Amino acid sequence: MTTGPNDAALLVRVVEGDHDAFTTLMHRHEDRIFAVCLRIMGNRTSAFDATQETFLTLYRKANQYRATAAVGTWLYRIAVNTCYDLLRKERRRPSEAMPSYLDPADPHAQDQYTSIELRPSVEAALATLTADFRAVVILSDVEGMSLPDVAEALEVPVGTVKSRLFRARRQLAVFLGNLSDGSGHQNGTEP
Amino acid sequence: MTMPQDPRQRPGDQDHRLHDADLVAAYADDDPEIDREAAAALVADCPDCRSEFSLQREVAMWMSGAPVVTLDNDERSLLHDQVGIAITGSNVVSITDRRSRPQPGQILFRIASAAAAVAVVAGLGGVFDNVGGGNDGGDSFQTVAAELSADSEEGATTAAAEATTTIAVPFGAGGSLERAMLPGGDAEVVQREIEELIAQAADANAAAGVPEDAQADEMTAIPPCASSVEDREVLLTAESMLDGEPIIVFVVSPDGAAGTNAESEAETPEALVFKIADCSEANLG
Repeated sequence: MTTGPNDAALLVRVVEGDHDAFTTLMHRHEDRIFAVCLRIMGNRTSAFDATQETFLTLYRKANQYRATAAVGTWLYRIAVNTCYDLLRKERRRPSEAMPSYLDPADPHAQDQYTSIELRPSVEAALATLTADFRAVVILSDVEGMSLPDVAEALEVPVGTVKSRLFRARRQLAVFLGNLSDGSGHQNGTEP
Repeated sequence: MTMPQDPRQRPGDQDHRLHDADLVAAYADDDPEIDREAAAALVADCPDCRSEFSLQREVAMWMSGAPVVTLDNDERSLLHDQVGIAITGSNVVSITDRRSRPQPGQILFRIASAAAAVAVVAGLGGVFDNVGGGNDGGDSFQTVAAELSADSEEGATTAAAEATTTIAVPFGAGGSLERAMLPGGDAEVVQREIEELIAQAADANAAAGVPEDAQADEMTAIPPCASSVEDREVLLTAESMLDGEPIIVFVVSPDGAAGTNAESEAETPEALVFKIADCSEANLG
C-alpha cells in the first residue's frame, strides 16, 4: 500500500524542482513500468532503455500533466508510446526469447498449465501479437487495468480496446492451443 | 471458431447468437454497462457463445497469472543513476528546458550553443506512424515520432560538436502541441517562409550524427492532416496563415521513405501544405 503524498501531489513538487519527489515517484512505479516495457519490447535491454526514457519524459513533461487521468495511467501512456517509438527504431518484432527465469511456472497455479512442461511462456505468447494488441493485453489482463484506463493510457476509444482485446485473446488462444478442444473450433479464424 | 457479426440478424433468429460476440466479450470482461442477465442467458443457451466466453476468460486469467517482473538491484541502481544524471543536466539535455518559448511569427528552429560538450540533436528521422496500429481500423491517432539520434558509432565522432540544433518535432507521449509558427500572409510571403524552413531543415539534416546515448526529442500531436503525408518522413511541421486561413506545413524528406537518415542528407526536403480546416492541399501558386 502506498503511503505518503499521492502521485499528483508528488508531480506538483517535481514541477517545483523537488528531485526527491521525483525519486519517490520512480520508486513507486519503476517496476510496473519496467514490466510493461519488458513485455512490449521483449528483452531487458530495450525494456531498460524504454523505462529510462519513460521517466525522463515524465520529468520533462511533468508540467504538462493534467489531472484528467491518474498519474499512473499517464505514465503507462508515456511508457507505451516510448516502447512504440523504440520498436519503430528497431524495425522488428522481438526475436530473442525471454530468459526462462522470467517466466517460472507458478507452483500454486490451478490452471491447466500448472506444470513447467505445459506452461508456455507468457512472453512467447505475447510475442505472437502485434505491438498494439500486445499493449492492450499487457495493460488489461496482465496489469489488471480497467478498460477505460487502458483506453486512456493508449489514447484510443474504449471500443477499440475491447475489439483489440477480443481479437488478441483469440490469437493467444490459438497460440495456447485452446481452440483445438474438439468442439469444432478452428484455429486462427478472425471474427 | 466463427462468430460473424451480422447486423441484419435479430434476437430470435435461429442464429441470433452469431452477432453477439461483442456482448459475450463484454460479459467475459465483466463490463458493467451490458445487460448481464441477457448475456448470461445467451452464454447458457448458445454453445458457440459459451465457448467464446470460456476462451476469453481463460486467456485473460492465464495472462493475469503472468509472473511478476521487476528490475534487479543492478538495473534499479543504474536506472536511478542514469536518470538522476540526466535530470541534473549533465548528460541528456531536454530541448524543452533549453528552448525559450517561441514568439508569434518566429520560426521555432534555431541553433543554440551547447552548454556542455553534448551534441543532442541530429538525424531528423521523424516517422509517421499510426500509433494506434490500425489493425481494427478504429484509430485515428497519429503522431510523428522524432528520432533525433544517429544510430551508428560513427556519430560519436561528431558528438563534441559545438553547436546544438534545436528543432520542434512532433511528440506524442506528453500530448504537447508545439510546432513552428511562420509569419502569415499571401502566397508569396508564405512560400518564401517555407523555402527558408526547408533550407534550415536541410542544414539540420546535414549536421546529423550524434551518439545513441546523447539524444533528446521533442514531439507533439499533429492534426488529422498528418494522414495526408502518411509514410513520408516528416522533418518539421509548421503552422502559418495563408490569406487569413490557417495552414499546416510538413517538411518531408525528399525520397519520401520513412526512417531515412544520413543517406538523404544531401537532397533538399520538400514541403507539403494543407489547410487545417479541411486538410485539403493549399495552393501557393
